[in-house]
Amino acid sequence: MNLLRFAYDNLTRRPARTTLTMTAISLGIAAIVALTAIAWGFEASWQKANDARGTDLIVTRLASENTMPSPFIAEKVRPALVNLPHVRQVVGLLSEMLTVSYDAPPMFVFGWEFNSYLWEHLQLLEGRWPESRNEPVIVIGTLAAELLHKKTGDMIEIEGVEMPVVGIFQSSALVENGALILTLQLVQQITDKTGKVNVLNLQLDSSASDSDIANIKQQVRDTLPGYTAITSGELVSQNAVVRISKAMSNATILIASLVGALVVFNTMLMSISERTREIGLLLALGWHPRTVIKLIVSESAMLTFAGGIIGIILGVLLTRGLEHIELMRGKIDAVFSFPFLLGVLALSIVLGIFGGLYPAIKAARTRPSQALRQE
Amino acid sequence: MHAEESVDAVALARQMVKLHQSSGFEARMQVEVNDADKRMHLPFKVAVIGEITLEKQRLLLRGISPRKVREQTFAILATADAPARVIKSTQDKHSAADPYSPLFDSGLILWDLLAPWWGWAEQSVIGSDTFDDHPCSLIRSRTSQTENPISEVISCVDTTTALAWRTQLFDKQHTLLRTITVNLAMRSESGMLVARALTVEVPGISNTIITVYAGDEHYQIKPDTFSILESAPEAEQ
Repeated sequence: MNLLRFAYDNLTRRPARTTLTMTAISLGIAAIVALTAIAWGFEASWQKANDARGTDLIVTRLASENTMPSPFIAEKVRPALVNLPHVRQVVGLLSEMLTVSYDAPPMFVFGWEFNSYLWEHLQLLEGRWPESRNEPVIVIGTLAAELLHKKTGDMIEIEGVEMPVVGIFQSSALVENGALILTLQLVQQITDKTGKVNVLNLQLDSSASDSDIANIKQQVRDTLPGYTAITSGELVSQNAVVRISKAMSNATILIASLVGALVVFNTMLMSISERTREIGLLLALGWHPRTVIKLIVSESAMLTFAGGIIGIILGVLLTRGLEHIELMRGKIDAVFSFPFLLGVLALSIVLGIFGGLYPAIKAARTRPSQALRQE
Repeated sequence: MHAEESVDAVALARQMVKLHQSSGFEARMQVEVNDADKRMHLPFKVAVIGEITLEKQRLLLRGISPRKVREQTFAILATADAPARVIKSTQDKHSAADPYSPLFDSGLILWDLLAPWWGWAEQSVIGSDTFDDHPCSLIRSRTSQTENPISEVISCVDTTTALAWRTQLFDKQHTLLRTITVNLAMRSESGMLVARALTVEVPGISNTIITVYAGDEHYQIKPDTFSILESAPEAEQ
């Protein structure tokens, strides 16, 4: 009989135990898939927003651990930046997470410099853009429109100031689709932060190389104490929420792996102790101990392979489900890459091999004479 | 647990006063009020702008939303040699107001925002406690000022972070008037631990949850920020 077929039959002979073990493994794998995809998606969404805007470098205050860097007076920093080589535009951005309706979760309110390159990547679906830097109007992303139940012409109150929605836009970044955008001057006025920005976005000319970017970073460090120039990727990876979500996903991978290995270990240990006579008989019939090891490890690897596949499907479905829950909408933009899913499957098989190794060795060391005597 | 003997109450109070000093800050807060019978009021938002020095403490509380709240602004001025003075400004008039009165039917009180008890002369350590797993020293602050409805304050202060996790305010008869507890703290840019969400419990009356949702630690005080303190009539109640 084929060894794999034999291993498969051994698993199906005890369907309840096999199902329970597979369920435990698949839940662990599902947790790994969901949390990691959410953590990566969160990071990717922020980076996508910055990249889509065409920002090459971001100048912000040092040691900012909040979601958005703390505000600073733009004009204290801008003059030093505009004269740096390769800098085409220096554009201010002010952002706050605000409750604009008690029926919807808090939303990002962005203040973007009027007529700057930041607006260029947005696709206007209906209405128009603001026509001047002080025009008290709002444009909202498609997701924000859906969550707030607003359309063009409706009024929205931000920090006590009522303004009409004049346009609805779509962005490639989820963060922006769930946001409300006003001109920078307007957000400064509404939030009482006259002249302040969270970040200054630098757009460089097309001839700027990596070494030019490194030079600009160095010049900012040297000439603007307390400020730093970083790429959008660096800004996102410094973000406290991104760090926390990544740490959570790493912790989940570790805990789920340990639990998974222990579950497999326990199942296989129980299995071989129940099958002592059977294993003794196989050895008495001339099976090599190595073949017994292969049989047990194959069983555990099959268990975790099946559990891994179910877990991956479950994890993807769970995350997609979470994305559609009202409370989570606009906050989750999970990223599932094929190599990641393949890696998770490989992890679950490795867990099976390691979890089954000791029970397999124990089984292979069984003395046929003793095993056959056992009731 | 902290050994209370090792804590110098007067030095700690001085440190608290020093930590509260600011050349300008702004904090926007959402306030949710629940009655003792659990009835929830419509939340409201206010902005607090402050300038705190050793000689003078000034706060401006501006209503943001809803409209009823938006139409009101309060300014409080406290100096070392004069009792706190509050001016209320509405669309059409300025009038004097009571610094100890709750604002907008909530547990929010202007006088409390200044935490003036840290400047009182009598400070003592009365024990140690824990609050939400945070070990803290119990500091009793007392005043003999007769015009002050609060005569004693017991603060549960984590001496390592100088954050008062719980503050109980008592009247002359040692009746507990309200308890302020910190539900959530955050690190400020300077590295100091500050309250982000607070609950003000007025026994048998209400529970007010105050959440700071935005702010600016380097707010630039403008020449006219506290102008209502100068333009207002002196003592009209």
